[in-house]
Amino acid sequence: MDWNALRNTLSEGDIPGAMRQVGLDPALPFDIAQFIDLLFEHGYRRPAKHVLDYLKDRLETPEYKVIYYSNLGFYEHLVEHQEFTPLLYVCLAIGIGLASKSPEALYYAYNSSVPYLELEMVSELFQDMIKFADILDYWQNPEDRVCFIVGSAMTLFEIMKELRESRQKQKVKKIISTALKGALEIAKNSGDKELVAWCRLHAGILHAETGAKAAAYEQLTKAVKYYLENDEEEKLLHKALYHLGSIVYEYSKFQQYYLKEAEQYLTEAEKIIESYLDDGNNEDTEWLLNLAKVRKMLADVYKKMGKQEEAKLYRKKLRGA
Amino acid sequence: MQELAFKPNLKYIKIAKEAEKKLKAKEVNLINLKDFLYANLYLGNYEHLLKKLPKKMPEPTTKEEVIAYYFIKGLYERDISIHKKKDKDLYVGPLGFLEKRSRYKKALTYLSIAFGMAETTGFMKAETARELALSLVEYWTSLESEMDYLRSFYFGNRPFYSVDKLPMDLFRMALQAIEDPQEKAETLLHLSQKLISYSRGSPFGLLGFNLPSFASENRFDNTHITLLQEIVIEEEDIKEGKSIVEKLSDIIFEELEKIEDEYIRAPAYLSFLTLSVYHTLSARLYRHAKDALDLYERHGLCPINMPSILFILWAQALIFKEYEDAKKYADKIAQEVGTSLRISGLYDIFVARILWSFLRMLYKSEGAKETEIYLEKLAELLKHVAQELKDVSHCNIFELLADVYQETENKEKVFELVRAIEPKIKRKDLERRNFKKYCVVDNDEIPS
Repeated sequence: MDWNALRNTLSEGDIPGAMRQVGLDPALPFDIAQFIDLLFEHGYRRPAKHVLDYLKDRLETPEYKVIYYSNLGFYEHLVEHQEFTPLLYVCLAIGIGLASKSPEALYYAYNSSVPYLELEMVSELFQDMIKFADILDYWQNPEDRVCFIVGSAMTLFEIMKELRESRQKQKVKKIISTALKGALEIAKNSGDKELVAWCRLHAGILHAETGAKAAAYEQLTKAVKYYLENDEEEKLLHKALYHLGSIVYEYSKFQQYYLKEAEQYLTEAEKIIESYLDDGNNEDTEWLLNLAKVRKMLADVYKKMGKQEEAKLYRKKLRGA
Repeated sequence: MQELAFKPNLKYIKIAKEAEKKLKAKEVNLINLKDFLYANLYLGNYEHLLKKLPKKMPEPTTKEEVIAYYFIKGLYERDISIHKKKDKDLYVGPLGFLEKRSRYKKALTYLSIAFGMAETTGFMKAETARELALSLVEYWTSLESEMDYLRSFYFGNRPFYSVDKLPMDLFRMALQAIEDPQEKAETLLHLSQKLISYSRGSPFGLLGFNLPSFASENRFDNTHITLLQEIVIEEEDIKEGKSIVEKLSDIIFEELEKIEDEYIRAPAYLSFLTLSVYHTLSARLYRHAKDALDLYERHGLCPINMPSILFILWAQALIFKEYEDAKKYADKIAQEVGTSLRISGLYDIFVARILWSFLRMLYKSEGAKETEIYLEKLAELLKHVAQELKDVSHCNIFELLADVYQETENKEKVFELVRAIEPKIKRKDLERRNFKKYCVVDNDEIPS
């Protein structure tokens, strides 16, 4: 990126021009949000404020307002070192988001508020949002609603990881679990099987992460079943298999019964991940790492099954992976 | 100003009674509950509230009720829980302060959400807007004062000057939501009074910087009030804007007079009064400002914004036909600040900005006819300034006059004034803003 050119354009006050320079569309609200993020990330606080001022004159839709107030809160916190102003502005953004009928805007506001709110409050607002979804009818579309709930649960999970107190962790786990159940219900009622599978996959991953292995196993096996039959591009299948394989592998540490199942899912996962990587994605580090993890798990599984040759093969593959 | 006297008690007594009647008749919905809660809190009927408040809050069933739900939670978080006896015991010692702080933060969170929702859903009726804005101010200031006290008490420091500034955007949003100008004016006055009763901070706030260690029991933060004044002026449909600012100025003036230390009082006086005069065109305030300048000079103080203060007073002196004063200020500008401004290249900006602001304000408050008179006086001085400064400010002055020319109904007169400054100028050049040929710029004199 040519920062000098960008600086020059910004100093001329040409914010749309500067946005185009970095490949963003000034007509799209969330591109403006991305642009502000970019400026903040690179320490361009004053230009970021200029973009905020630019936005202030264009608060035509709730999306713009949410982006403006969320970032104003961030600016007051980061630059002005204000203590309570950020809280006030980001909550204003949540209020606007709640009334906006735009899940994207609400999600943005919600995410922006996390650093300023106590966890208890985050959890409470999250529950409120789900509880009031029908009254506020922001989501006519079940897909938006399911995505919002699952996405929010993921955010909560990230917050949970930062917590030290186990009592609080348990509380958040419960909220996540309830939210995921609710999302699955909405998906099922919509009659959209793909949405159900997507919900099961992400719910399964989150359940696995929060240690709810039985729930994870149940959701992931169902998701894998669906994707084996329907996911032609195997985009989501490898993800589902990897997570399912990991769960079953964990099970197999304690119960031999699961070894066979772990072998089945992990070999399937390996095949699909390999084909995904061969398909021009061989620089996807996340999945290269996942492949290594799958092979490590397979080596262990074969060892426990007494299949020394296979175990040796996988250890060898692992060294090469 | 009498017609603006805000008499909210009767109104809220009525609201409280009606809401209580509805609650008694089992109409326990969140809207009635909010009315009951807010009105009684407003009137300070805590004990009555505690007796009558339903034990369980109903769940919201409509969008408007979701707003009321957050509104109630915001009000409850501090006002109700703090007045419950068992909770009162909690607020002792450092943990008690932290608990209070947490409650205020929660209250702010809920109220801000309610405000955002109300604004977006279109439920921000005049009443809700006003109530929410007032509640936010109250919680905000409580939070601030508690935090100040906590810091000073437990960390051994003097109270901090206002660390956080009030979110004035909220006031703007609240005002935008109120359509009736009279209601707007009342709200502004009421907001200002609330704000003033809570105002703390540095008398230097208005000067654009905070000086610690001048802590005084009579500290007063003018910054917020100044911002409110600006909002009043921006709200063009508030006919009483001028008198609200005057009223505000009086209240602040009284507060400032309580500051015994002249060294602190003088700059606060002067800055505030100068801006008040600027906003109100009040001859009475102008005289106060003049006195303040004398007081100020006795202490040999020199604020960073002295040039703008002098410019304002100079222009006001012309407007109030105090020509002797005008001459005195003009001399001061030339002697004390003219040179430094010329060096910094700010002179023309000050002239243009202040003159233009005055003219705009004059059009608004006094009408075109009056404006022409002042324009003439100002242009006379402008001509003098322009000649003194030669070309540095010429182009900007032409721009300004071209603006005036475009807006005025008396184009001939304005054109004559322009000709007085620059005899060679042609009308079409003024109309097309083609000034380059009249601005002979000597590059060596232009500050970088």
